[in-house]
Amino acid sequence: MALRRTVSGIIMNDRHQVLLVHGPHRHEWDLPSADFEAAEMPAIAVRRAVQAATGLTVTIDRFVGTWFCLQHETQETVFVVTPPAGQESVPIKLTSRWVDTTPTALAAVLPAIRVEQITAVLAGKQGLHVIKDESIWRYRRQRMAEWLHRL
Amino acid sequence: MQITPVTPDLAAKSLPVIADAFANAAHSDGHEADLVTALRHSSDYRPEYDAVAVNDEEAVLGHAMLSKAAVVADDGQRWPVYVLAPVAVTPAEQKKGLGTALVMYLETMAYGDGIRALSVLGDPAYYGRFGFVPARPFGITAPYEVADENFMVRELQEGGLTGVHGVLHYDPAFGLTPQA
Repeated sequence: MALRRTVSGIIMNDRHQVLLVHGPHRHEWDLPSADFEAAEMPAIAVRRAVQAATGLTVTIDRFVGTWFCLQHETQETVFVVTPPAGQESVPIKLTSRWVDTTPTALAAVLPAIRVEQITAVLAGKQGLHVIKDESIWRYRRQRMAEWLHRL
Repeated sequence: MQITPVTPDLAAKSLPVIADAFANAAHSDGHEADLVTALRHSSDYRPEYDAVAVNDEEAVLGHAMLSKAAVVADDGQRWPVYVLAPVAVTPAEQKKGLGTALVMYLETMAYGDGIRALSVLGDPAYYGRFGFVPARPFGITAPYEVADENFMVRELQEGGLTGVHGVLHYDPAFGLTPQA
């Protein structure tokens, strides 16, 4: 299996909401994110990813952590990023939206790992290196439950 | 589960895991835990490159570390690189990707510090996935007899090994000659 590295940016507004995007190649709402090469600085990759998804030129607020998903051999690196002053009133594109950061509201639109990442930010955590050992069956069950929940 | 640099407590807990991990390994000399202990006493030891995977009960499930080395040319010119060794996962947790996560973690740390390249001795089928390639075409050789395909390097920066050539000098803890 191929190793995959992704980087995601969490943008919060002062109404305790997080910005999600719905990209052309995605079927679901997600944080602005992108794959990146091992030889690319994640802090630079996340700014590129957010720029591509939202048009915003952001600055890095803090490094939240990396999540190593064993089953899928992916490494997800997550940052909190800040839009320039005066542009907090995004979404500026139709393919983005603000979502409340209550556990229920997040779980309704995002996979469990994203909820965990955003919850970590809300709890003030940073510099995490988390290993997710999700057996394929547990993962499928969870995905099915999420899917049913959205219907 | 999480990955963390070792604390004195976790460093001690990692040793039996390393010994167990290599107990039935084909390419083991049975001294990997001693090697780790020796590397931890090296003058070039960096605790942030000595990582363990721990579960929620603080039990160590896996360990991997980087140690400082140098590629030394015939004329004495030397380039610092880091060696990835050993990588150990407790037998019950093997083949689940824990080793992969540990290697990716160390790569990320080393990359963030601007390190030029990593070297590893191992199975190309496993380490090739991270981008490790045979060192011989770069003109980098091992200080011991080894098949070219098993002695690998990985640039952490574009052109990180351009012009770098010579023999890899390991940390003295490896007990190899010549030494870094």
